[in-house]
Amino acid sequence: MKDSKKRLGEASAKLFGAALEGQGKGVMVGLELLALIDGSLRLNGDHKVLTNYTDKSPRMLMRSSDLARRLATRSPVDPSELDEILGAEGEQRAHTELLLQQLLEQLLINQNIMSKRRIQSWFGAYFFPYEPCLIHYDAVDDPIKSDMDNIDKMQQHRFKAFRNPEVFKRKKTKSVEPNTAYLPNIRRYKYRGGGSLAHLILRTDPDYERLERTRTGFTELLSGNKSSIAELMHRLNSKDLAQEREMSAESGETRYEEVLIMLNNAGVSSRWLETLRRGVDQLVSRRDRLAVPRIMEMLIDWVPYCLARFQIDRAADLLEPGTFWTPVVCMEPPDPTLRRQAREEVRRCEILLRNALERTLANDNSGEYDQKKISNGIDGYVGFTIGNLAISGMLSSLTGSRYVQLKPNLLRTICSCEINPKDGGMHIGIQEFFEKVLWEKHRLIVDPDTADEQGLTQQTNWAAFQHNSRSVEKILISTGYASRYSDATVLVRGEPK
Amino acid sequence: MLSEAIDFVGFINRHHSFGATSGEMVEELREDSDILPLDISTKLEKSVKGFIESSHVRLIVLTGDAGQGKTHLCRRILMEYGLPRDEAKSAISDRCNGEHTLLITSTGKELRIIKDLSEFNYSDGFLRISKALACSQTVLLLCANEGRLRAVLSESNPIAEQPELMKVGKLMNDSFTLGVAANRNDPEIRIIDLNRQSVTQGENPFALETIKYFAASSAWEGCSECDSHNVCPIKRNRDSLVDDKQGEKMRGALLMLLTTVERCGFTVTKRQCLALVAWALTGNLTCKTVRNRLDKTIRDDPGKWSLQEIIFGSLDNEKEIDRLPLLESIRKLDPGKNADPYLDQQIMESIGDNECMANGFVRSHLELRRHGARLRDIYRRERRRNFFENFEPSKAGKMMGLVHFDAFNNLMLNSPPQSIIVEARNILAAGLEAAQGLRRHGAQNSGKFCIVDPAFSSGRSGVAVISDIIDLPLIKLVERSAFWKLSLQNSDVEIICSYVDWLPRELVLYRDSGDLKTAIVMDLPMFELLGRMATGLITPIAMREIQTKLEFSLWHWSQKQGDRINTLKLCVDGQLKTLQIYPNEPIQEVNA
Repeated sequence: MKDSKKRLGEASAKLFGAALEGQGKGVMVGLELLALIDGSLRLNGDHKVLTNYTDKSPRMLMRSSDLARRLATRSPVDPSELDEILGAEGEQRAHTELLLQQLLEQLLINQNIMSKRRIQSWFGAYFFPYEPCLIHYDAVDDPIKSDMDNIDKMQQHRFKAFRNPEVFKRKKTKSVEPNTAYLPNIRRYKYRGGGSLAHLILRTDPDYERLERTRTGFTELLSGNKSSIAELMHRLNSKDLAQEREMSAESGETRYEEVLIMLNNAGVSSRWLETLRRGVDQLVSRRDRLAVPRIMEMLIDWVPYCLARFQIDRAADLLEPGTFWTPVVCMEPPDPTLRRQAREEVRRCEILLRNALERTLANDNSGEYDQKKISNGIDGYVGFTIGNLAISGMLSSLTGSRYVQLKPNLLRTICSCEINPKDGGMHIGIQEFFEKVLWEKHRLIVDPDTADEQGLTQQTNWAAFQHNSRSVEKILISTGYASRYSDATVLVRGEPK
Repeated sequence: MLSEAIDFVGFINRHHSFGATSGEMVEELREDSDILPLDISTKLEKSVKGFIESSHVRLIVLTGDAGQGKTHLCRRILMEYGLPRDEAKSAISDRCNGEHTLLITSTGKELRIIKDLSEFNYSDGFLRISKALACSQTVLLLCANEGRLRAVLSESNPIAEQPELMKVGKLMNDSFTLGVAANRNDPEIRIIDLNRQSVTQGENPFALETIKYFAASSAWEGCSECDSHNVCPIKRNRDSLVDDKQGEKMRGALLMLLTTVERCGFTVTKRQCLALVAWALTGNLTCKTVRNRLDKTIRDDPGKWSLQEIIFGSLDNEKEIDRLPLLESIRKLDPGKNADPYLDQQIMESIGDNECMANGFVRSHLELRRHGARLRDIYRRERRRNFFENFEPSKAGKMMGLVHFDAFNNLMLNSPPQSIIVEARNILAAGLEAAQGLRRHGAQNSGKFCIVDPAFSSGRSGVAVISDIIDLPLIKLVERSAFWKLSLQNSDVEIICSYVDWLPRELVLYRDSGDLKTAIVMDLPMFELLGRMATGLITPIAMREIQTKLEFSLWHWSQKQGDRINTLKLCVDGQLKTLQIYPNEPIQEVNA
């Protein structure tokens, strides 16, 4: 009997292009993508990001920022590691260290987004890429091995302090002894392939002009002006235990050719690949008019959103060719009937994903498998998609009984990604936004006219949809993405005013 | 006479949208000539007449919300030129498509009117505007709402690229963004945005004239013959408005509410002003309802139908309030919801201990809730009554729940004293810091304004990275029209203030020698919010919203620095600190 976990991973890779597990959901997708692009920029120089699809295994520089992350999470740091950075020990150094810790803590991603549980370890904490210098790759605490980064095995005793009891409890393997020293090592922990799939989707863009624009955009975005934070991070990163090293982005699990074929034959779901590329191009082109942290925030919402929508449509297409997911949206404060429908949409989406994965497994004639284990395992894969939707702002909450809703962050991101100044004007009317953007491009039923067209107003009150559209309008106006004019016209823009 | 009064109450009720008919709300449908003609003169009317009489002007664009009185103004203009009321009315209905000459002005020009540009498709609209501009012997009075005008002038039709039309387009944009009404380089075009006018300003404020229009009519004389005149709430409301002593306070309170609503960013159209006064007078009651006591509250609870209760307490249903958006805005200023210790003490004494404490009467939670609701209702009514009947402008702000109301109003004076400006600017700067999540000790008196790096403006921990520190004197605070003049720096341009009944309603905060496009415009609610934030009252929702609005401006304000990469300014637990990061030297915390 083949390992059920491995089989599920293979099924997910066959269906979606990568083994997309729940652990790597949400912000991790965007962080991984940015780490890959930033890494290739630092290794290869300007405009060498998102290399052509013929480059099967692009190389890039990965850094762990482990020292900064350990400081930020108050994890063990050997005093000698900071000697060169903060000077000799004393009262002054203690003050500076405390200040540094407070500052770095502030740079971490809000823990509520990541997990309900308190993060125990430095490697479970990630910096938000407000500035390019804060982009880093995954790293974990690993038992010392001979091939570890630049660590002299003779100095093991110095680093015993890094042994993390929590990690030890988790890793119940025979090879790990209680006295084993653990050291940071650049290796995938929560970066589970969503970002590298997005990276592959971006660099296989058939529209060469757009690809070139995206490359330029990323180059300029990530190699922006030097700042004092960049200077600080540079100093800290230079003392990382897991030193920066060159790695391949899509090595191992990614069966490159198969993924390419899958992406080319994605059917109706291919619209989301196009949407992802279009949106990223728009975002990185707005660097003159939007602050870099905002572009980063939007990228981090946009990429998992598009991947999740791609997965759902891909699943729907597999089960019934030509179909796709057209959810009903219920805005705040929710109308009970509409909320019920919007909640059903989430359930439907879960069922679609589950059935599609099960069918892919069934079609794979590589022997029997443990049905129960598979069933449990599928939850993680479905969790990846649903988690992506929730964190990107398409569901009403991160956990619990959720329904489809457009949160302000996703609405802002959609505006910036879809309202293109080159496509006739800086702004579009709100009705056009509902019809041409939210419905035609994103297949979201928000306003009464679209609902009417889809025959939904027979079962749900027309006024509920009208309330929906008003609510969207209100959010856009309050965030500066729309303005109301004297004849009650509301124009939506791609940038806040 | 009695039947005349009955007709008149019906006529008033046709001015608001809560009854069965609301015919008087639309100019083309008004049949007021039978009962009372609406002839309220405004400054705008004189301005437009002046434009028509000017020898250069060929196109006068009137733009503004529906209900701002564009069509009404056209009719008034025709009547000014001697057309009888009926003829003017029929001209408005039949011949206002820009093709008919309606009259000849004293300068010998033909006056044509387009009463609504939305009646034509885009290309037709272009043609009519360009035709008017081409002919020196006509003057076209064009009424168009902003969206339509924008759409017509930005339509990707080659005709829109004509230099003349491009001039209109440019002036239109300047009008909406910089309040421009006329440019001496383009003497043939005038654009008036009616949304900039106020119903509470001018020699004869429209709101007061409206009250006079409804309340001072001779038709009310018939009421004394009615059996119910002693209990009639409509008559009582009308009397309270026209009474010499009491009426002045009531009118003052109503005018204050409308002025405040306008300063809160709401555009009060003339139609809405008429509707509000009409609604406040009758509450949609009719003479028949009153005489036959069809609504038992007229007998049991006459206070329910007082003017202030109709405005603030009568409608609970959101959908009904939606019919008059002004009502929703005005209710945010409900004096009934704001406690006043002295007044509340008096109310408590007048109610009596038993009622207040509910001693011994309450047997269940439900009863307790009911008792609470009853008490709340009493307090609210008394506070509202006090606001209207004992109206004092100096106390109005606090009664409406606006702590910084007086400070804002003082800044709206023609040329406020420098000390007031400096004080307000310092408060606003402290508020802006708080809005960025920064809590700095002594922010108001430090003479500095810190801009937080956008990455750190979430305010979730005690540390913030400061991207720039600006000396407070470099931040300027001016009234909106003064800012327009400053931005235009062009003596050839005239702004709208001199052409309409102007109410200063916004302030602008900008960085001196910075890009004026990054200035922060603030109305009364934003001023109030920042003022409260400066004192430490911050709600997360308000903060998130305000951060989005301010982010772009503050980001640009801090653009000029960038060479100080070796120092990192931080605000930690309210104190400024600096980290020095020099190559090959230890990182050190030094005094800020």
